[in-house]
Amino acid sequence: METALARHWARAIGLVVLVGVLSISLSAASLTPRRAQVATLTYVALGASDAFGIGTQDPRTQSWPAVLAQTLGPDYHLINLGVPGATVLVAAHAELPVALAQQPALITVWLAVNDLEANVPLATYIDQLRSLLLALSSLAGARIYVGDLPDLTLLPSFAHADQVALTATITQWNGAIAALCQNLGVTLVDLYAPWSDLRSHPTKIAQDFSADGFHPSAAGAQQLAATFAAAIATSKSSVAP
Amino acid sequence: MTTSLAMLSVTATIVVVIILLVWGIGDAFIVRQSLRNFQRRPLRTMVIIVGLMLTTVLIAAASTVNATLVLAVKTVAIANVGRVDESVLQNGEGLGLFPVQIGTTVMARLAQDPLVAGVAPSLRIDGALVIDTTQRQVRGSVNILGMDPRQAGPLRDFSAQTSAPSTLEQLGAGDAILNASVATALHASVGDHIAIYSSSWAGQALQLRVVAIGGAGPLGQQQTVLTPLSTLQHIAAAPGMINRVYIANVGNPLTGSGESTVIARTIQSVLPPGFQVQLVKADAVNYALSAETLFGRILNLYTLFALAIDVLLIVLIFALLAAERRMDLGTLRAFGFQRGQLVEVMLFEAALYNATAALPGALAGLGLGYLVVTLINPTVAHLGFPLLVRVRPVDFVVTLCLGFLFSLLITALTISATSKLNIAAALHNAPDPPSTAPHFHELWQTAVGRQHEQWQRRLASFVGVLWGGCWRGFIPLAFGLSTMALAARHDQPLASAIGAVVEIGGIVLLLRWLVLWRAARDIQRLREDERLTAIERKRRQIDRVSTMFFGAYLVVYWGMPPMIAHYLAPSRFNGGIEEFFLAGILMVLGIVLAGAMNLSWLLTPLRALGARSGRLRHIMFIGLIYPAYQRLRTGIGLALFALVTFVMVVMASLTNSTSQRYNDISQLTGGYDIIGQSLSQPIGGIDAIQRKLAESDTHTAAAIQNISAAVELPLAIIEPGGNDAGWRLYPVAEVSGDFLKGAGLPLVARAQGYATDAAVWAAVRDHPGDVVIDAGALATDEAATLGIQAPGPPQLEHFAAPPIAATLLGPSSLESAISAPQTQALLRQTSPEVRALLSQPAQLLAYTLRLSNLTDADGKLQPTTVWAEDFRGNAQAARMTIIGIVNNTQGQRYGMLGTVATFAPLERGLTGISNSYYYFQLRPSADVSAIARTLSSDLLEYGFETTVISQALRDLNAPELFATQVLLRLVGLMLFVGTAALMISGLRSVVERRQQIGMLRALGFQRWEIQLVFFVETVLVAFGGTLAGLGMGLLLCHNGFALTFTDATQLGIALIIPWGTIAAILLIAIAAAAVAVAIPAYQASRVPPAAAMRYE
Repeated sequence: METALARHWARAIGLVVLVGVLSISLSAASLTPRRAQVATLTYVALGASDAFGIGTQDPRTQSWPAVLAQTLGPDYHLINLGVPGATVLVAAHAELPVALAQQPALITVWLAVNDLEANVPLATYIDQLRSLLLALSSLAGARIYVGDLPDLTLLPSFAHADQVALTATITQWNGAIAALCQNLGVTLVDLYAPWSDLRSHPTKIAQDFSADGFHPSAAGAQQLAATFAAAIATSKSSVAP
Repeated sequence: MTTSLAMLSVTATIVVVIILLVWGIGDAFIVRQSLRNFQRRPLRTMVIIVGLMLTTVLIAAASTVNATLVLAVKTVAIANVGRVDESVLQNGEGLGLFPVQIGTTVMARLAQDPLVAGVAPSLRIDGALVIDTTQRQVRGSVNILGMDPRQAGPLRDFSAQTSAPSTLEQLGAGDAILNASVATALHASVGDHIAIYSSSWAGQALQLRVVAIGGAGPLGQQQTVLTPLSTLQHIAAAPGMINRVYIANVGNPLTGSGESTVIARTIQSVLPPGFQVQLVKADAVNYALSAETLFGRILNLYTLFALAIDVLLIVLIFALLAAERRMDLGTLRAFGFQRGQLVEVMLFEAALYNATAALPGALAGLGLGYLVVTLINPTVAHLGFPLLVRVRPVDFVVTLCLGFLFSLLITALTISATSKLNIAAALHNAPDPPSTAPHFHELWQTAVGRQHEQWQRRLASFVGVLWGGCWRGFIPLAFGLSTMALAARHDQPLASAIGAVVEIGGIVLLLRWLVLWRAARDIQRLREDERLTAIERKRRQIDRVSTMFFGAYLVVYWGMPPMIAHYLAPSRFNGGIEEFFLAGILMVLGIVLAGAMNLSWLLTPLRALGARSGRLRHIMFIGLIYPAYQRLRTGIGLALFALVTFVMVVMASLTNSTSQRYNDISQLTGGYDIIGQSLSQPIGGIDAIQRKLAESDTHTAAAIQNISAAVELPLAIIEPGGNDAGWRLYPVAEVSGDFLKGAGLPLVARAQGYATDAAVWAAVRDHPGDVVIDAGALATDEAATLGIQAPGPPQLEHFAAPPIAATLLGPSSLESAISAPQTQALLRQTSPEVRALLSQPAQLLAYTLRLSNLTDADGKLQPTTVWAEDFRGNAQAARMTIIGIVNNTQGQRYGMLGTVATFAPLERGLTGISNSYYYFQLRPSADVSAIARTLSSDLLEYGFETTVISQALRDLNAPELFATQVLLRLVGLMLFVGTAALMISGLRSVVERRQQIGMLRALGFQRWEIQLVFFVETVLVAFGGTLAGLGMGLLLCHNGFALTFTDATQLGIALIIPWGTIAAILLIAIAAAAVAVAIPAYQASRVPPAAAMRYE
């Protein structure tokens, strides 16, 4: 009788514990973020305030390099070197040494808007960008992606600028950036064309930019990340056999 | 808001009283029976009334203390800002000068305004350096104020402490009045000569003679020198210009700001564009009240816990009353009374108890609140804190009515639950037989199926269906799951946690029902007379298992460490005080539920021990059998003990932690006594100070044991290997002197490869690039892995000054530090985005460094690479290695710390953002104040300002020190009331068992044996309850404190458990229960057996 009772108890407790554990796990799983896998590849983002995440609610997760890293998957560990207000010159002393000390598999560089705003002469800018890219190219096995100037005439903060002159300047700068990229063998990420599409969707501009009319919002950061992701995917497939 | 609450509570109380009166008039028997019961046993009635009084006592005391605290905080805020209610100033940078005509216009507009008591066009120069050349003392960040006194009213009142001239009109061109704050700091006297330096008259000194020392003055506690307006305009090269128009409202300083908005509107109507009206006093009061968040949270928690104890005590009182009256009620039922009528009788009686208890309870609460505040008075006298007990009639009425209604509601619920009885069993005082409730599908048919059913039966059946659905787990399961889904969608962590608990409860109930259903099928095979016993036995077994599982789940879910909860229950705590309260209550409920239902198992070892206790065997047997048999009553008793102990442990720990945060001066100062900074010219480092003192003042030099120095640097840091690898902000300081030997910077972790703290400091000293960082920089998981108690993230002031010195920057000093020319210059050098970040301190948290991945697989700290950069310059980012973690439990030492050699490459060619601070640790026998004065005098040529750290901290933290004293007294009050609750519980448990005592006496038990039986029972319940409460309290504090108090308040509060106090609390709780039982047991055992058996 005692043995039968003990067996019965053991069964009952076992059943209750099993269901309880399953239930806790299920309820926890509905709210728990997945634990990050150990990353094996390093992705370094050189950039300015947009890379830093200014304009988004949560820069740690909503900046465009963070979104791109999420798109690339858990194999990539992001080192976001974006510095608010950075020009290529600032990046050369604040970001480049850190980048060179890592062994990145992937590097994105988007440093142009602050130089243009600061009236850095195009020749100086290109020289400085060349030095930066040459230093980065010395890293073995790193794929480098360089963003150019988007269509700034769409930004509310540039609304009062001379639109024709600005368009001409952007075209000139982008031509120089494209030539440099071709020259150095790094991949150019064309940001001008995708942004120009916004011209036909004016309501999206309000969505994609933060209240300052300059920095991308979380939605804008996703757009940027998607453009870089597409370029990365295209260049991968083009070198694949 | 309070008035409408008062109206509502008074109306509700009147309605309830009218219903009860109508009820009584309609049925005279109810009144007669209730009054008879009320008068029958005066001692019992008194005990019940005292128990119910405790409900209102705690609420009224907390309300009084809270109102007093709020009043005191407001008074301090007003004392800090002075008599000024509104201030007119021009938008923009610099001095913000504007023509005096603007002031004249405002004066003219407000001349006849009945709300305005005074207007004073003024010129105010902030951040001046004042040197008292007579006393050879220096003070920085002083306001120099010149006012037009013609229509100044109370603004001109300087409450002069010294001889005339004390009015502004009498001041000569070279005269000055010092307010009390600056006079104390300079040790100034009337007749002293002072020299004032400011960037507004660079290269000159304003030489003045002190003609009077005033009280607070128009700018309150801010360090202020008053001088004629024309003198100030002349030296600042601003003839005919002012930069403020100050307005004082009518009424006293506390009430005046109530009309600020109206007055501001009036002023704004005559101002040209570009001017603004600041509501100085209203803003200061609001800021001060919002800064009291921590104490507000603890007071809220206190009130919630007090209510929980009250609920349990009321339930216990009336459950025991119902148990005591069981035979009476059974007899009435036998005479044909309905259950509803029994409830009416008991409820009417309970209303009499409640009504009698409400007023004395509220008065006693007010009295205790008054006592608490009065007792604090001598303790906080040295803080100069204004202490006025505030009792508003409207608060009193609300407390009174809510106390009555709350008690009555709980009473009604308890009576309703306990009045269900089996008549035959009640008449024989035997246990109720198993319930024979109608089958679920029969109830369902009655509720919805049959066509011609009475609506009352339909309703009753519907309630039965719902009840059955609850007991079978369907409804809790569905409710829990849907709550969780909704909570996840709307990001409501508290609702999600409640949903999870209800869901698991539903699963347990469902399983219980399934097992019972299966068992019932097996039992059908037994003989008919065996079935009832068999199913009851089965039900008990299953109940034990299910309550044990559910109780364990509650304890584990709410008590699991944050590291595990991060993955299993991420939404468990979100920093809300409600979650902390809920966690505590559910943990206590869990352990009591599991313990009370399984008491017969848990007592097995004690029973075995009792069986070997020789002559006392029968006593042990009786003493142990009753608690296990009466599970409900034992459970409520256990719950009360557990809850009181739990609340005491939690409140004592919270109070101790906050108290240590502000009272432990030696921890906050890091062992240093004086902080100094040169305000006029660089002093040249520690060596220069030592040289100077060795030459001119060997006495002072001999009194100094350690000297250190630190300067704050504006660097950004990145940890490439971390989970959050981006440039982040964190305080960084260049340290030298004895800091580099660890003096004042104790380490809590060393990197692998460094055997001692000395080895770490040697590496920091000798190897540029090696640094240490405080524990506040660690991510929560990382700190937990290293077993380090980390404070909350750094605040704005920690970026403005180096460790320890930053804690001396109050809001006003911080404001002046931010508006200082060097800070403004720094801001101009940064990019617009960074400037925007720095101008919004709330944003800091989003960009604050959080180090991770510092440890290896064994949880040991590894040397960790970070990079640092000053974005103002062009130097290359520098690689650094963190090799040690500095203890920062109380938030006094934020920063990444390294040597000059480490940071010099980054700072080359850049201007500093803070002065160099010098830290002096004196030998134990030295007179700290005297040495501080001497140091300032010896180093006068450098404008060396010295501050006695302990005194500055006491002044700065006066409201917090006051609040911790309040909390300490409140914990004492709660101990008192909690002990009273336990004593009442003990008293009632004996009184209701006089018949049983008679029975035992009739069986031959001696008096001492009966007393011993009660003692065994009481100690068992008291010990079990206190142990459970202690365990749960410590568990919750350990795992929930950081999120609820440290992170949520951002005040660097760390948990410090007061073991001695807790041990005393436990002893008092058990002793109180033992005493409470001993007296009535002694009396009861003296009653002749026959009399006791007749007891009713």
